[in-house]
Amino acid sequence: MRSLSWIAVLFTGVVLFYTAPSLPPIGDPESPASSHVSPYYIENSVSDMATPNLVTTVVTDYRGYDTLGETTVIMTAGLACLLILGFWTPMRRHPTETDRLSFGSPVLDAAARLLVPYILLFALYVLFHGHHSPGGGFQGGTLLAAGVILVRLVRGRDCGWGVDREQAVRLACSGAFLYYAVGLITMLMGHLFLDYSKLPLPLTAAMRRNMGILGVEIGVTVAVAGTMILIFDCLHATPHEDREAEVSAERAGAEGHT
Amino acid sequence: MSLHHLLDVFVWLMMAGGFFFIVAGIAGVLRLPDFYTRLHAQGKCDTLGVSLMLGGLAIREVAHGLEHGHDMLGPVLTALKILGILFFILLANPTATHALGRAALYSGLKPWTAEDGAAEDSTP
Amino acid sequence: MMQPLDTMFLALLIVIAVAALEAGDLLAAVILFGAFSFFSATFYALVGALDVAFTEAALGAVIATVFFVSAIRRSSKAARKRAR
Repeated sequence: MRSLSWIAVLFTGVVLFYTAPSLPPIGDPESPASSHVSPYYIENSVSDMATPNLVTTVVTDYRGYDTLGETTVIMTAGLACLLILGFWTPMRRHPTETDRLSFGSPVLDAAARLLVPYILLFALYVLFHGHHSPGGGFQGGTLLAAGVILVRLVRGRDCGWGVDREQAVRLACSGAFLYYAVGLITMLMGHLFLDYSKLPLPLTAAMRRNMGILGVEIGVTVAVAGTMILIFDCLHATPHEDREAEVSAERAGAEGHT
Repeated sequence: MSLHHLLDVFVWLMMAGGFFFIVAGIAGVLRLPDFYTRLHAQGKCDTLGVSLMLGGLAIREVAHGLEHGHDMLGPVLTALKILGILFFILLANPTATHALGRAALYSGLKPWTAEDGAAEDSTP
Repeated sequence: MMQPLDTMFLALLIVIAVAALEAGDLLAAVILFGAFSFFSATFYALVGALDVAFTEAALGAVIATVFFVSAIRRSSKAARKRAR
């Protein structure tokens, strides 16, 4: 098995070294990537939807169906994790005293208190500034989930502003639904699915598409954040029978050293 | 000798200091006997070295703006962003060191003592 | 078109991947995998794919490492031995 992995690594490495030199230089106008469909995106992105970040426009507008599929796949992955792993770790509605036992110490607690608000703020910045700078729904959602997971790791597995497993499922599903809902609104207006320029907003067509991208990005953010928290909860929860032994071991260790 | 030359001297000093402390941290990780002492070397030296390097980069950005007479808004904004990273590293790096040491202690790793060193010396 | 820095990063990626394969401990392999993600994110940023680099750094280096460590923590000692 290990020799197989060696072969895979070395083969991939050789392919990497073999193909990387033939990549065109950055910004080369003659390269195949920027000589077919890219010029259209580059020329029309700003006038079509007032968004300078071409990656955002391609991902969420020109190729919006792909991102719709990706969001659905991520949500489905989270639900599959819940189906497989949630079976052994039943959900508790009322956390007991032992659940509050955490890895945290005063130092970790203070650092997390100082850091988490900035992480969440940065996540929102990444989401809302995704039109103008690198970032967007997937990155913003991951950072949101990272903030919640940091709180969980430091302050015990049931802490995290009430986003328990059930709420995480709701977040994941409603985020994916928000994406579909934007498309459904345009269909209800009598136009194509995900045709943001026909959204019922009192704005210019470019700004309507801009707002459509924003709505879709918010949906992706909520779906990704919910899914990540859900998967983390499923992986991090301990089966009931192991829990008591673990708690007593942790207590003994803590008393032995303080 | 204008202001940006003076700033460049500062930048060089800070970069050299940062390099020195990072190298010292790596030497500590390679040479010290056990996990806790290595953590001690790595946590302090890395934090100081990276902070000095980032501070040097922030000043370099401002000096570069002064030298070329640009609009100063861009360089100052970049310098502020680098200072944000500096703040994060100053906060997160010692905390991570603390968490690692605490986890090692709780999982039962015994600190290295002088007796261990004497035992190692007597058994060649 | 190959910059010396690109070559260095690609070589480093292969070295880290081999080190992760040869690590005797699952936890060490996971940490090395996080380092692999981080260096590939730096490589993406180097060749100009900033959005991809951002996603790789946030998802691959942070969240995936946390997931792997949680999964190792949950798995039994026997399973950990077998995986070695």
